Amino acid sequence: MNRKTFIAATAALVIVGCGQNDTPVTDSGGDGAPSGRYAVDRLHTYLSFSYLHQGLSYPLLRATDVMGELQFDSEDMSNSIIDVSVAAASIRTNVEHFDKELASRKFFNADKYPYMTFSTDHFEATSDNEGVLHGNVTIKGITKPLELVVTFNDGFVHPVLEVPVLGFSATGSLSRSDFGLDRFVPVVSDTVVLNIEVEFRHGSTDESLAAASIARDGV
Amino acid sequence: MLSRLFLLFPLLAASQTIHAHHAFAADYEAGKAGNVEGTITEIIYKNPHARYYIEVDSAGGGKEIWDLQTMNLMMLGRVGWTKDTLKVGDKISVDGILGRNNTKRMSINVVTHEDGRVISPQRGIAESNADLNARTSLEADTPRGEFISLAANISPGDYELEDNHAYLGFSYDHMGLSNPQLQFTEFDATLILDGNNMANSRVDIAVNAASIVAAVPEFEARLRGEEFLNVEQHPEISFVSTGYSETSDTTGTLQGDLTIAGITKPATLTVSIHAAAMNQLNKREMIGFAANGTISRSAYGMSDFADWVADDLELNIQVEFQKARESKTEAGR
Repeated sequence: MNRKTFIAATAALVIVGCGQNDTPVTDSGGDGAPSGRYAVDRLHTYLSFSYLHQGLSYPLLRATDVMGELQFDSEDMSNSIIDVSVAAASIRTNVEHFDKELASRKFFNADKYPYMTFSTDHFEATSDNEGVLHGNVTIKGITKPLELVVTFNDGFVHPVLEVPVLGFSATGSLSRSDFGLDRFVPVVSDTVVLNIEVEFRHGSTDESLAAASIARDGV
Repeated sequence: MLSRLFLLFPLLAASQTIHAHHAFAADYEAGKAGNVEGTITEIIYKNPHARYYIEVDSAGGGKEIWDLQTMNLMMLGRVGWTKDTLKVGDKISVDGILGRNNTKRMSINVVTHEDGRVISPQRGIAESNADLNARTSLEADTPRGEFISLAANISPGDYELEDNHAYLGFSYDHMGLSNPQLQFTEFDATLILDGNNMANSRVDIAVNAASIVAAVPEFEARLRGEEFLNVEQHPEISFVSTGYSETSDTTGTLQGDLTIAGITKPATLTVSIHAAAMNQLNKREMIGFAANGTISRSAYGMSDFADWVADDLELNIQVEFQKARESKTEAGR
């Protein structure tokens, strides 16, 4: 645990400590974050993806409109569930006409399929702060299983906001041709690598509930 | 994406000192390459970059711990480097870039494992040096087609940024919770390539500081303000290269002067050339590479929120360049 994490975690323990003395202390780094519902913190959430372009470079694309909810179980991470919805029209390439092309029928057809979603099947913990998240991803109306390798970075009560926060990093990859996104394969690689950095704040919001509903039930 | 408002830097042609490889105990000045051997004692396989701590026999007869760092997990995953590639207790010999100020830190170029494996964050895992050097970082499922990997196979001269395929990203540790991934979306760059003598090659970059993008506009506005980039006073971030030293045919270190918010400091980027070839569509020669490095934000006067936000910023640059036209007349034909 580095210094700033220590400071924050200490603050968290001081705040949470009252009334929760019977809570077993784990060494997962999430000592101050209780079980419950958490919403994606859009201020601190980044979903990037990359692929090999003509063998020359790995463009760094961003999905900027990411919403979701986590049902966190601090006692047993494998009981945790996350559901996420991403606005298909929110992908940014830094090239305006490419942004439009990706939203168009040539790629994501965002008018007809406004959200890409991920819903959890189960979380397989491999250590006290790592695991594999097994779930289903839906893009352009096509649903396929997806595994994300997840690191639980930390969790504590935010010393200023005074609300529990959690942070995760996750990576994974998918074949875009599985989702009808096969233009320019193989000149542009079929494999797309995902890099997710996400923070959550305790408590559901209207947005997180809506995002979870879209991810789970499609509406 | 490219802002044509930014003038290109004068192209630097002055000869530069080539940074030689130094034995680890002999010299570990800033930006110098070195080698260190030891046994892995701890692994932190997390973003923003994986870290390996190794115990080394020190010159004085005792033991010391070195902090070796490499790329983020996404970059490592592309070449098949996982958390199981190196394990605690493994004996390794590592070539890399030594940390500044005699800190026992190194940025990994190549790991040679006691079992004979040669492991590179850019080129993956090979059975021998020769095998590794024959590789590029291209993914196995991507045919290389007309593309060839060596810069020597395309002509020397001036190259311009292919601005539809140019990305300048960076990340940092936020409160131990996550590693935000920010970008600058407007920049220009020039490359003077000499593939037969890469030490003569130069890359200069000019970035519109106001083009920073983050998760939310409110944060972007704050980053543009006086406490950070101060874009009113310092609209441009620049990198002017001062030297390139090869670590293999497709990798090297680029030295340069990085100016942010009016402060100039030396910076070192680790370069990995993905491919160099003729683009069969427009018959222009192209080269694409990644550049990674670590800079200290406090060195550029941006030290606010030091308790919450790491000082180190991890750069992730992905760029393609194309051969500059001989003249506008020719380009217009």
